[in-house]
Amino acid sequence: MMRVIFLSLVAVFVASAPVSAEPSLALKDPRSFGYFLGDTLTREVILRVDAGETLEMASVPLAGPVNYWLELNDVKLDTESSGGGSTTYRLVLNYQTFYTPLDPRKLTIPGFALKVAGASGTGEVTVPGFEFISSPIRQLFASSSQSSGSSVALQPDVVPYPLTTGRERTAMLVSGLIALGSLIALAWHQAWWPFHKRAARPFTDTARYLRSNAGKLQDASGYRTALLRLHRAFDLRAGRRVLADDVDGFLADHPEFKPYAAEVEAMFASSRQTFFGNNVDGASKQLPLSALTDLSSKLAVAERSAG
Amino acid sequence: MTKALRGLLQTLGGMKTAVLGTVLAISAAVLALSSWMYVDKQMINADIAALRSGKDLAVDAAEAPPALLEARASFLLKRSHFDDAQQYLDQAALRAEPAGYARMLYNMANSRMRVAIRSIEQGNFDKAIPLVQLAKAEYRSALRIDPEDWDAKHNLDVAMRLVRDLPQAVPEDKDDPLETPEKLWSDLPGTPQGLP
Repeated sequence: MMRVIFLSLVAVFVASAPVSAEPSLALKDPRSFGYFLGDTLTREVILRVDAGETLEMASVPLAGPVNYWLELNDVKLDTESSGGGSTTYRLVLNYQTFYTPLDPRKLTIPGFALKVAGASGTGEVTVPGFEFISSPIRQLFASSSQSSGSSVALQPDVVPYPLTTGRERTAMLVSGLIALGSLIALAWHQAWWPFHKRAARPFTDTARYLRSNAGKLQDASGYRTALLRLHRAFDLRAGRRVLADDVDGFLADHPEFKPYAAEVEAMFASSRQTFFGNNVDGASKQLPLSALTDLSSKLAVAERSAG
Repeated sequence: MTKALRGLLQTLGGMKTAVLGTVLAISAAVLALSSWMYVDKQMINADIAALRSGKDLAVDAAEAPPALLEARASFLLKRSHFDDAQQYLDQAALRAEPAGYARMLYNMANSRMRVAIRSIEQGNFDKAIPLVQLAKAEYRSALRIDPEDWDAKHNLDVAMRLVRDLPQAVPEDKDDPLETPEKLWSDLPGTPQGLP
């Protein structure tokens, strides 16, 4: 209620000013009591001018010291065009008082004049000063119970605190657990150590064996070993012995290997040639060791993608 | 919908190795980075603890992180070496967060005030007055950054009562000195007398 009366008084004051009757001024002032040194006060000046009139920017106060105890820290000016061509200027002034009163004392933020340029010349709008009560934060004299030095006793220094490391520790813990989990899952999926002894990945084991022993398997007995290894993988996968005639049944039971049916057939054919025809050279010409290795790798991938 | 989902799951199943590898690579990178940052902070904290316990640890003002600048300045200011501490404040003004810089300003002003109070007790007012003036400017700067710093308010109040701020060249209630141009000439030697 008080504020409304105050604002209307200001409006009356402006309306009766002889220089420029047109612009309307409203003020939003903070409370006028209960301030200590170092406190900030924000005044808001709302000025509305009619079409064709503009606020002269040079008349807006600049940030900086106002006098020896008052500083204008921050000046913000927003411009809004409202209906009918009139313009509203919203000026936010952030003051800081450094007055150190010995008793509660009335202080005044000085007023200032805003200049408004229009077609008929330049008019002035006076923003009135603002009065507020500032109070001391300490008693004037040290009481008798205190020592004589207490009037100059300072508050202690700020002790430098160590940096907080909680965020890093959390990040380390979470990322470490995720890394460990994904590493274990990857090792299990790829049948790496310590999961490599698992029987469920016979083709992966065979593929690894053929890849890492490629040098040793170059001769005839090596070729036999490679074929035997692959046979063992088929047997383990099927859970029984798989002979050449069983291949169709095996592929029906394990559809993930179907895309490689032709190569599997070829392998069984060259196995027959090797073990029953005793013709290792002919077999390895038809299906060389590298093709066996390739086939085992493909079957290993198919085996893993199946689960 | 379910078909598409199943298809997606199958595709993902086929890419398990790739997905797991990516997750592993990212989490390992985060782990390495956070560990490095943790070790870095722990080393800074060790230096801060050493300075706090009174060890005279040299700190390079140009390179050191802001927290260490503050700790070193605090160490020097506790021992009233405010001229040596000035370089750390200058660096902090450029690099530290405002709150940290405000704390350094406050400590600096406190250090000056302690020396000033000692000088006053010894009757050496010529030495004390400029120190109090500097301290007041630093308390003000600290309060400009944090108007709610009650310790700075209290100590500024102490400083103000030792050496009061007084209206000096600028008249307090004349907000527009240009309106009284005759005052502009008052400091000139000699006054023009009459007309030629």
